[in-house]
Amino acid sequence: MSAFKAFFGGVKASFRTTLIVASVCAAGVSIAAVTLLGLSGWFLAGAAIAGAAGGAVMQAFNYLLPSAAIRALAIARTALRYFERYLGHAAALRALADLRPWLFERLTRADPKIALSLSRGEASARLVQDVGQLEGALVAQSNWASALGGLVAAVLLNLFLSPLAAVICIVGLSTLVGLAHYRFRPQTGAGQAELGQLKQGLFDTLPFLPDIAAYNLKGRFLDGLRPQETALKAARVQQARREGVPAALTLLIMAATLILIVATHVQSPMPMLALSLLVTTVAFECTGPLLRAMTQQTLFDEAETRVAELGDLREAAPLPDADPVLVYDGQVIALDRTLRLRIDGRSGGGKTRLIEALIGLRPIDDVPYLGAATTADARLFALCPQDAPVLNGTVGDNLLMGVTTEEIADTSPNDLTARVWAALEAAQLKPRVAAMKDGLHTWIGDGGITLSGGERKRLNLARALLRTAPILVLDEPTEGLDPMTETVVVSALEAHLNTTGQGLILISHRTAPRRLCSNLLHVR
Amino acid sequence: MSHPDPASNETATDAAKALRQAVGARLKLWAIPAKRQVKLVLCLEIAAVLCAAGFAVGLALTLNDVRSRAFPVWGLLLIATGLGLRAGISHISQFVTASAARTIIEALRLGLIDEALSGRGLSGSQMHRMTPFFEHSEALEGYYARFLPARRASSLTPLLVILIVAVVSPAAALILLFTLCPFVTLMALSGMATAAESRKQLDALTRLSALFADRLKHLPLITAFAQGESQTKKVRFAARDVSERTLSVLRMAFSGSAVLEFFAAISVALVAVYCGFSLLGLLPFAVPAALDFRYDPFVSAFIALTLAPEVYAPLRRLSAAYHEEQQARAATEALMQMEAALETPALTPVMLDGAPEVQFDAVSAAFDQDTIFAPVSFTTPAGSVTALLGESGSGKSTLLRLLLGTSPASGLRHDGRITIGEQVLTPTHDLSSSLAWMSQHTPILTGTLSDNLRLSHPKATDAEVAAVIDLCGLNDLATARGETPFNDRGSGLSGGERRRIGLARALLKPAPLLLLDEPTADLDEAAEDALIDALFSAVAGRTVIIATHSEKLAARAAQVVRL
Repeated sequence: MSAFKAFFGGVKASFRTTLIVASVCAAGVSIAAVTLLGLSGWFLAGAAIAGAAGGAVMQAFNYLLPSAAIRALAIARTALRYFERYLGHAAALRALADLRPWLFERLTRADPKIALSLSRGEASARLVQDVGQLEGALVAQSNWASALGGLVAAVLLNLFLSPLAAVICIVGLSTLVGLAHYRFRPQTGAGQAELGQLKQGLFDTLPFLPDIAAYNLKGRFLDGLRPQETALKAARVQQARREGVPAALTLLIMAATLILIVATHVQSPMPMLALSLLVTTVAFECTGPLLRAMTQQTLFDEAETRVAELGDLREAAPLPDADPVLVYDGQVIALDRTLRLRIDGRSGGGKTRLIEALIGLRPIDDVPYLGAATTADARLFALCPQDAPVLNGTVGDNLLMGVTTEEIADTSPNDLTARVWAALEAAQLKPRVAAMKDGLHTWIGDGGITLSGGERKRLNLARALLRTAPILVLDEPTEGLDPMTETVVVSALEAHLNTTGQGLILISHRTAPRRLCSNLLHVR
Repeated sequence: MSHPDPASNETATDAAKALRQAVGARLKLWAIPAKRQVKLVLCLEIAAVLCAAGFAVGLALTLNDVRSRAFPVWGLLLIATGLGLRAGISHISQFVTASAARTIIEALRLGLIDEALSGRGLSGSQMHRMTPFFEHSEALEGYYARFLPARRASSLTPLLVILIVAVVSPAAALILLFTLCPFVTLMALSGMATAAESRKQLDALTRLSALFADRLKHLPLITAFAQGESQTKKVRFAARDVSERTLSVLRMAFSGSAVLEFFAAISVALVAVYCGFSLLGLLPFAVPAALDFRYDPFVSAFIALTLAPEVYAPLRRLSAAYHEEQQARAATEALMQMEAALETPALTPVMLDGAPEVQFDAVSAAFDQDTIFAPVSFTTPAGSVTALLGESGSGKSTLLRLLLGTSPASGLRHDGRITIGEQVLTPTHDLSSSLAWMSQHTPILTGTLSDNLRLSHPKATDAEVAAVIDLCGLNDLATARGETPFNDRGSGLSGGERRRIGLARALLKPAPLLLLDEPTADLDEAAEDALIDALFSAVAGRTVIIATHSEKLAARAAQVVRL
């Protein structure tokens, strides 16, 4: 069994009782609704006959019980509706609050080569939207109970008229549900292909923007995209038309059922017929949510499949225990604390790709001349990446990524803070952070302070310096810094390497940091 | 982890209110292309209510006939027509609302694409801004197809149903009206209370989405620092927080739907009890003659009872579509930002006569806060070739794009002074009529080779086309293809051929300024050499600026500028 199925099954099981209670409440709402209108109709008809007959008949007509029952049903329907909706949503929300972090954890543990190849938009769409669909599917589970409750109540109440009426009611309702299920199940994802084409069309066009501007080609490209938009519109409208079939079908089958009941019961007591017709009407209405959920079933299934793919990504293979080495074009370099290696090569020649492969962020065979015996292990390295990424979070959140959970547990908060400030000082970012109103707790990234390119670079450097891995990997660490700051940063780096005894791998087109290295690897 | 407090003072509240109003106004504005459909849907809603009334009358007549042991021909006929017509109407209105929603989305999207293709608001590295564009615009479908029709219907049809009931039994109609009024007041009050709460929840949800997107984006970093576990902890914390917040909002929303259910049930119960006791003649008070049943008491009472649930039907539809409105509002906010960023200022065309001198005086560019390149100064003399060299990401392409025009709203701006000939360039200047552009992506459109070349200069004579074909070494291709059109993907063309077409196209336009963005990237050595030869044999008399990685190409330029 797949990891996803096992986990999702477990989550669902822990909320099963709540979901069942929600379904029972849903059935109760339908039963109350059916009974309420049926009883009201019967009461009216009975009252009309008794009132017309007058005298003793009227005295015998028990009006207290039905009128009290009507009020009780109205209140029961209200309370049950509340519990049905609350319990169903509570279970679904709490279940899904566990699913999202689990999926994220699977992603971080999965083989990075696969996990990172999932485009970002794709993975986040699965985590957010598809999981949201699963939530809808869980809530929709009570729709069956709602329809079933309506059916059972209608059938039982129809028995007051005659068994035949009950049978007609069953046949009518099951014809509706059956037809909707087997004949008119819409293919969801209608328009997905067209939407994909339109998207592709636009993204293919965007690189041509300068050409479009220079040669006034906008009209030509718009004319190319317009038919795709029209095709999408046609597909979606067609889909909507198909989704509308069950609602129309409900009314038609309901009409046939009602007429059949009347035609076979012209000689029956009128109040019972009134009861039967009204309960049948409401029972048909109770199938509404179920029919709507049926049109979405394929959507739910597709979402589950996509989420399952994410949960079932292959886990990273355990790493071998041999001494770590870098093998490039037959040259074997030991990856240890004595390493002081500079990687050189022409721009766009694959220097960054080489260190990404070392860290395990891309397959070894992605890099030409890199030997298969190379150790790819993130634990060996403390990385300062070229693109200087910053997490949305506080300055502290960003820096503490460089400290392992065990270290955080073993270090007193004061020592930890001192270490963080020391790293910031080495990276020449201390005055900037100290000047921030909330210091290390200042929010950076979306919704917070925006750091300049150079500041982001230095923050990344500080993060790498905090990490106690054997080898520091610096990819263009001083890019975007002015020469003064650069000189200070390089001296601080030298001091840091001497204190910690860490090894170094450096990529730098600037000359100042190069003196930190004694060896050179030229990539082709 | 603490997020910056959303400023909780009054200005923030006012700003949020203004934003909500702006979003509402925008949603209304976008709906204009589907005006006719909207009216039609409203007519269909009214027709559906009339059908429901027909059904109710049919049911009452049927029972009345059965009471007197007659076969209810008319009653059954009314039931059949009422329900049959209603089925038809529901199908048609489903179709009309869907096509109205799609018409709106189509118009909105094509309008935005039109803006985007103007090119000013968007440049290569900022293209990712367009990624959520489709999700956001699709999110409007539920709003226009379901929420809006339900809202329009719920402000009209309940009263219409009550009016119909009033025809047969004014007293029952009064009962329905009296249950509807407190309901509407209660909903409005609780709606105001939940609105604030649900905005907070929406914020939390947005933050969770942003957290996911951010952590997924930085998965390489998280992997490199082996921080999977601690980041999962953060995500778990945020996810639980959101689910509990959502639940507290839903608790309120569900009490709203319970209230709805209560009034729907109570209106049926009150009508039934009133009619029943009235038929029995047991009412503890006298009903004024004006309010009493207008027709046969039983028939009138039954019609009132059957129509009572119809009063609340559109309100129920509305509450089911509630979250679609929220989604659409969030999407609209994002689309409005995009609209603003893509907005093109009114342009002043600039015509150049003769190859201009181009002067960059301490020009730097930034996108939002990020510097793209530091100040650079150089002068390209009229009619000479300047090569820009630099690492990828050093801003060569952006520098060329500055000459195509920028838009301040897009976030891309430049400092310093660019002078073309005598003119100082401002963001509203439009040089496009006087410049030709060639990049590593040459668009090929459906059409023959000469059609494709003429895209830059539709009035070019056959002789001029033949001349650039010869100049750029496209003779073999022209012979092989003849009049066979290319498709819009340019299938069957080699990379080298595509570039030659791009060069020929740029040269065909009699533009005095020629900008080339990495014209030889990804070409093999032979193709690169051939293209460089063709290029330098053809650019005489034009001012040329080339952004490139190629030292070979730079070596032949009159001037090399390093970024």
